[in-house]
Amino acid sequence: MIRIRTVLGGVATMAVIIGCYSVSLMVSGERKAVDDLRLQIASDQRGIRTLQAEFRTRARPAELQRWNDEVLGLQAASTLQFVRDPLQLAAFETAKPSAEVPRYAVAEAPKPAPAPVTTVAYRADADPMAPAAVAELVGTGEARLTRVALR
Amino acid sequence: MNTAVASVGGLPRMPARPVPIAGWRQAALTQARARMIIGAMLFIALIAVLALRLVDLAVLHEAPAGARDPAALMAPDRGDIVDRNGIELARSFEAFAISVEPPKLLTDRRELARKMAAILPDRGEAAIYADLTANKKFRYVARRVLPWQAKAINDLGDPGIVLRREPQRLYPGLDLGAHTIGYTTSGTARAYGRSGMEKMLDARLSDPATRGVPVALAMDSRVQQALESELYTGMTKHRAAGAAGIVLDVHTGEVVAMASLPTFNPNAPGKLEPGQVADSSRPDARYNRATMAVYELGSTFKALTIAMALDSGVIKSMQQTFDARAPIMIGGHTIHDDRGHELRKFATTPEIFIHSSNIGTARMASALGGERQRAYLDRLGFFKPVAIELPEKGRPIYPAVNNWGEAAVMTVGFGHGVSVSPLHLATAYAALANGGILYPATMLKVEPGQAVPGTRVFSAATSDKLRALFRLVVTNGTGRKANTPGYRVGGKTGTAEKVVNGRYAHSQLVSTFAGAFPMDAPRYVVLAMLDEPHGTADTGGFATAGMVSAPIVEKLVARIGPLLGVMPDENKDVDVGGLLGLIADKQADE
Repeated sequence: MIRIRTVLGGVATMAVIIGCYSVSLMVSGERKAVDDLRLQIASDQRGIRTLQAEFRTRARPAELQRWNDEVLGLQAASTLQFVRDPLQLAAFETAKPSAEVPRYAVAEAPKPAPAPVTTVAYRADADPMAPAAVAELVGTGEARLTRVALR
Repeated sequence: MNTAVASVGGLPRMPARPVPIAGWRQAALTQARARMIIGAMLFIALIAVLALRLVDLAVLHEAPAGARDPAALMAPDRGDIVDRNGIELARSFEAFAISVEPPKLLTDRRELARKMAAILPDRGEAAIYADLTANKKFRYVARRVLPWQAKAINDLGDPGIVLRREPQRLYPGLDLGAHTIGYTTSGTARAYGRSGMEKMLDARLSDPATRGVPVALAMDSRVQQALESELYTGMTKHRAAGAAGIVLDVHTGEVVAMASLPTFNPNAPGKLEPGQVADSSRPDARYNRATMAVYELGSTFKALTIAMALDSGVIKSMQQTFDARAPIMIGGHTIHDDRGHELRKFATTPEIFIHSSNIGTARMASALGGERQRAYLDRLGFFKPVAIELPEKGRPIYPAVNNWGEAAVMTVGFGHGVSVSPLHLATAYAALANGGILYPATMLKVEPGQAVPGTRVFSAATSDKLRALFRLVVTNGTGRKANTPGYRVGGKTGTAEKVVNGRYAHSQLVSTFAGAFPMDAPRYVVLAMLDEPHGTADTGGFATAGMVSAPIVEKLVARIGPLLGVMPDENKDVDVGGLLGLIADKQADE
């Protein structure tokens, strides 16, 4: 009886040890996953830093100025282009007010007409670079831009 | 159970016990077998544990933790430098370096050199061949090469070629603010700051405890670009040897922009920029004209003399006149006004200032006296290198105390005999404009609300009067071409002859405009200086500050004003009506 109990005790102990160790392994595995994630984050952050540096290099002020000098030709704003208050802004209104409708010296933006929204059906088998597909994409992009502009 | 007790030789005997021999052996065998099974199980368990542990170590912890510490990976090799808005000015990255181990090269060296030169055109075939045939175990062929070049070299497939990744410094703005930011050189352990803020902040940028936090400079990269651009335009138009410019916050001493031209690319320091020509008679492009060079800055000094005279009570009112009728003969020299600018009368302070009269200012300086003049200049920091974090600082030149006689007092009064850096002048002008407090210039960002220690040099009343005089110079004086509409620019022009071999060179000028805006509530000092400019057709052949430097400031202020939160307003201005009444000739010639 004692022998069986001893054997069973040994088996139970081993089972407990192995069970505990499996838990430890699982924890270790999770920890490794977290470490891998952290490493991935660190790697991505390094990649982001590199891309930021590249972006800053390509969009450096001297390059932007070169574009402005050669293409855009923007000038520093003159004094008259700065509006100090709403009254000064209203003073820019040149149209004569209607006799029937009273107008107030308040800046009002005209309500834009709703823009047509292009609906494009998704086709999984379409070649993304085919002219028709590109035209659809452009149409979608315009619609998206229109919606953004109307917000 | 009864037991028999016997004794042998007097010793007590153990109690006799019946021993079942066969049963005992059986029990002993069973017990031994059980122990063996337990032992075997324990052994198996131990092996299982060891195996699991090995799996754990081999699969789940395949690399030492320290080698891939995420925190260590996230921290840059060297701290970033950013501008006041967080825009990166200097950043570290891992670049490719190409090296060779000549004894291990297998392919024909001449052929290999030809192929590598095609990929690395900057090196040249001969130089690469010399590296490949060097009697060394290791040679760098090229460092900081582009990824596609590294890949192409690697694809050559020779085992003697070694590609390495090593930390390098990148300056995304290229030559933007190069003299301020500085540059580094790569060492075996890390990059070392060699000039500018890279050198000054070297310990902080390389310390693992602090390098994770970027260092914010006072510089605004947009303002810096505008300053460099306008200076460059002026420098090329007037074929000047160099230029310097400063934009300084009058209330904190922050250097929002500082430029020195010609400039250099800190990514390749020492190399000539495209279009630059090597000239051994000129200083290297790394020479900072704004802080290292010292110049006699000419008539811009007159504002300081007038401020000293006002502050010390020598000038009791603006109506007070000084004798400017005739040149002054003193110490074998003749002090006279520039041709065409002679006042030939007793002149008021506004007249002396807007006509930039040497004679009138010399009279004021004489009345002030050498002792008080030196005391003011000392308080302004003109007798020591300018107060700034940069390591590149020039030492001012000024007469010795025992040589500071009446002649020196007069000549220093209108800007001769004392040579200081443009940044000295900018900090002094900030004190003149901000109410009289001198703040040391700083390249580091001052956080909003952060107290900045300053020293009062002039009274607030003196500063008020100087602001009106500065504005008068721009509305009616020699600085009219600096008058950006709406921004209420004020300042003073200064055209000085350079001292060459101990003598003034009449054809080599230093033309400076120093001022501030908006003059009704000054916020920024602006300084533009051209070194050896030449006149053009539209300046009538003149290369004076009013003709060549003031227009730079006019364009610059229009660009940077809105960026710095200064809105133009043509309905505001400094009241100079009272001063205009004291001027006979309302418009000074340029």
